[in-house]
Amino acid sequence: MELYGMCSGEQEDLCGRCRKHATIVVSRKEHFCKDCFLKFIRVKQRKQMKGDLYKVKFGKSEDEIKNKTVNLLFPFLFTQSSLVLADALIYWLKEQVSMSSKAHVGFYLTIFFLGLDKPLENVKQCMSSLESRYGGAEMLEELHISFTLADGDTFISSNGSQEYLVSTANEAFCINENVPKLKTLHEFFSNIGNPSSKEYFMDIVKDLIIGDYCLKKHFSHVVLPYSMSELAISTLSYTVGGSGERIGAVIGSKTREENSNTFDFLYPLRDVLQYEIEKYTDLCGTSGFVNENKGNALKSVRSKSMNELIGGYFGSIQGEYPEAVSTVVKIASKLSGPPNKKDFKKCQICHNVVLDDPERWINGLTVLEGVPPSNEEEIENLRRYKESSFAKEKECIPKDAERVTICYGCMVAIKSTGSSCLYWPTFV
Amino acid sequence: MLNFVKFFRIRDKRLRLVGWIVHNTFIVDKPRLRTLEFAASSTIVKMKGPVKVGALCELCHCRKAVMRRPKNLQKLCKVCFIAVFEEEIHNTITREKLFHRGESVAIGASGGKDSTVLAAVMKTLNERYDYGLHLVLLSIDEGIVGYRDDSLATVKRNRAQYGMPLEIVSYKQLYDWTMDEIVACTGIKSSCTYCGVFRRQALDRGALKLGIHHIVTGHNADDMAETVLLNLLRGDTARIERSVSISTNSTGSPVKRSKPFKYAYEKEIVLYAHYRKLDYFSTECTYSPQAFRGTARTLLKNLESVRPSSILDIIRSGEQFRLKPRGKKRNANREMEVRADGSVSLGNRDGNRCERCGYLSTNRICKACIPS
Repeated sequence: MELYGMCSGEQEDLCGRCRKHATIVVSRKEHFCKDCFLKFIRVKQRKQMKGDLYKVKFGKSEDEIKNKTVNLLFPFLFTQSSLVLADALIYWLKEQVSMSSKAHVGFYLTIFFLGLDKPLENVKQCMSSLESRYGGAEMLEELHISFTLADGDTFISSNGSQEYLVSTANEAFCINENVPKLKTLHEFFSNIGNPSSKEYFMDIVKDLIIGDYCLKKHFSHVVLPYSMSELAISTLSYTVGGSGERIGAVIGSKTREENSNTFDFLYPLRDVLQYEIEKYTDLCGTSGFVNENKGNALKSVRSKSMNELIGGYFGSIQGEYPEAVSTVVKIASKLSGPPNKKDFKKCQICHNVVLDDPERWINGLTVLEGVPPSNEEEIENLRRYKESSFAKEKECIPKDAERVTICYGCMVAIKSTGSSCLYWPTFV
Repeated sequence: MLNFVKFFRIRDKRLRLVGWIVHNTFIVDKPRLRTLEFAASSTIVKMKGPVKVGALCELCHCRKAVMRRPKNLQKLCKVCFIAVFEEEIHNTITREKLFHRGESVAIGASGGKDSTVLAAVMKTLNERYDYGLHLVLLSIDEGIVGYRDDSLATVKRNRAQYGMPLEIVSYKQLYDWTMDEIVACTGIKSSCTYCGVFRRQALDRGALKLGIHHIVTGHNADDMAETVLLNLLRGDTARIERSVSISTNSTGSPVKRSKPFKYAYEKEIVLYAHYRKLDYFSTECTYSPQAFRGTARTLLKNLESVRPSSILDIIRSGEQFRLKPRGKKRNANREMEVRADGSVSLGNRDGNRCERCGYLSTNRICKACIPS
C-alpha cells in the first residue's frame, strides 16, 4: 500500500492531514506528506507510552524532579524498528525540553547497543552515526541520553560453559565437566547449525543480557523496538516452536518477573507496520545505519528459518488480508502467560516456567518400541546389529551427565540442531 | 539384474506424493518430495541379499527399513510402522478415555484417506483391545456431482470390507438443497462456510437417527495445527482455547465428537493406508479452494519441511493457550435484548436451541436455518 516517490502537487495528491504538501506515503488508505507521516508514527509511539511516568517534568531545577524521573532502558537491536524508536524517543525528549524554561525531560534514556552476532566495528559505526545525527555528545547529554555498548563476549566468557543433551527418549541431560569454554558470542552462535534453533537461542541470549543489565544497573522500565509485524512473527514463532504459553508472558503482559524483581516492558511500536517502519527510516535518511540481511528471497524454503518463513507468509498475504498482522497481535495480547508460582520448575536454559512435563508429553505420543523378530532371518539380522558398531555407537550419555528440566521450546530447538546437543554459557 | 514385476504410478494430489511401486515397495520420486525417503534412492531394485546393518529399522533392528517416519524421521520397517501407528492411536484413546464399553460410535466416513484409515484402525483396535464398541459408518451426501457420488461408492465398498453398517444422510433430505444448488446461488467463495454448518448438523442428525451419541472424525494432527494457526490469524478468541480439544461436547448437545487422530500426521495416515492397501478415494472436493485456509496450509507444509516436529509443536502450543480472565461487564445481569418482534434474547449461553429446527444454536435461529 505504499506510494513510492514524490507525487505531483495536484489537488487529489495533497496530504490528507495538512492539505498543504504533496503526498509521499499512502498508508492504511490515508495520504501523508513527510511531516504528517512522521508525526503519525510518533503519535502511535507516544500512545503506547502515555501516562504520567514519561510525561515532561516541570521544576525550577533539575534536582527537584530527579527523583520523579524514571530511568528507561532501550535495547537497540540493529533493526529498522530500533532506528525508528530511537528517532521517535529522541524527538520526543527534544520536544519536552523545549516546552518552557522550566521543562525537563520526562525520562532518562539509556540506549543499550546490543549487536549480538554483529561485528563490533559495525556496532561502533552505527553508534557514532546516530550520535552525530542527533546533535553530538553534548546535545545527547543535555537530553539525558546515554549510549552504552553491550559486551556480549564478556557476558559469555565471564561465565562457564555447559553442554545440554537431549536423548532419543527426550530426556534432557547437562554436562558440567570438561566442557570447552565459550569465549565469544560468535563462537557460541556458530556452534548452532540450524537457523531456526540459532534464532531461538539468540532471542534467549538477548533476553538474558537485557535482564542481566537491568538487574545490575537497576532499570525497571524497558522499551523494546518491535513493530506490529515483528510481534506477529514472534507470536507465530512461539506457537510453531511449541512455546505457546510464552506469548502471553512476552506480548500479552506489560510486566515480567526476574529474580523476584518486576520489570515493565513496553512495545511502543506495536501499532506500527513494518512497511511504515521502512518508509520512516527512508524519509529520515537513517535506513543505511543498520544492515539488515535481506537476501531471504534467494533462499530455498528448506534453508530458511522459521521466522523467515513466517515473515514471508505475512508478506504474501498482506495484499489480500492486510488485517492478519494486527489480528494476530491483538489476540496475542489477550493470552495469559504461565502462572508464575514458586513450585513450578524453571527451564535451566531459558529460565521460563516449565508446564506439563514436556518429556512425558512427547513420550506419551510416540511409541519407541518395535515389533520383535519373528523368523530366522530377522533373528540373524538382530544378532548382526547387536554385534555391529551401530549398536555400540548408539547414543551414549556420559556417566557424569545430570538429568535436568528444560522447557518444550528448548527441547525442540536442541533436537533440531542435528546433534541434539548445545553448548550453553552458565548464566547465573 | 533388474527384478521388476509391477511398475505403476500412484498419485495423491493433496500431498503431491508421486512414486512407483516396485515389488510392493513404494519408492518416492525424490525431487518431488524429499522429506519422505523410502527404501531405495533409485527405481532399480537389486537382487535380495543380507540387509546391511545400517539399513535396518531403528526400532526392531531386525527388518529392513523402508521409510523415514514423517513425525520424527526415524527409519522404520513396514511392520514396525504399522504397529507404532496403531499403538499411538490406542494410547490416545485410552489416555483421553474417549470411549466406554458397550458404546455405539458412528465413524464419520467420507471415503477419503483419513476416514478410511480411521474405520480400519478403529475396527482393528476394537478387536485387538476389546473396547466393546459398536461401530457404524455414517456418511453425508452433500450433493456434489463428480465428487461425493464417487467417494460414496468407496464408502459403500468399505462397508463390505469392514463389515460395518452404513448410514447415508443427504443435504437434500435434510435441507432440500444440494451443495451444487447452494454454490449456484451463492458462489464458490463461501461454499465451505455453508457446507461446514450443514455437515456438522447433518452428522448429528444422522447419528441421532441411529440412536448414537458419539461420532469420531478423521481430523488429523495437520488439521489441528492448521486450526491453531487459523484461529490466531483470524483472532478467534471464542475458539482459541479449544482449538485442539480432542473431544467437543456442548452443554445440551446430544452428540459428542472425538478426534482419535489428533496426534497422527497426515503423511503417516497416507502411508498407513498404502501399506495396508486400504481402499480410499483421493480426489479433493470440487469447491475446496478455501483461500485463507489454503494459505495457512501452505505455511504449515513449509514449516514442516524445515522442522518435521512443528505440527506437534503447534498442537502443544494450542494446548497451552489460555485467555486472560475477562472483567465482568457492567450490568451484565440486568441487560437483555428485546427484539423488534417482542421476543427476548436468550443471551449467548451454551445449550440454546434454534426456534425453527430445535438444533443446538447460540442464536435464536441456527445458521443452517438462516438461508431457508
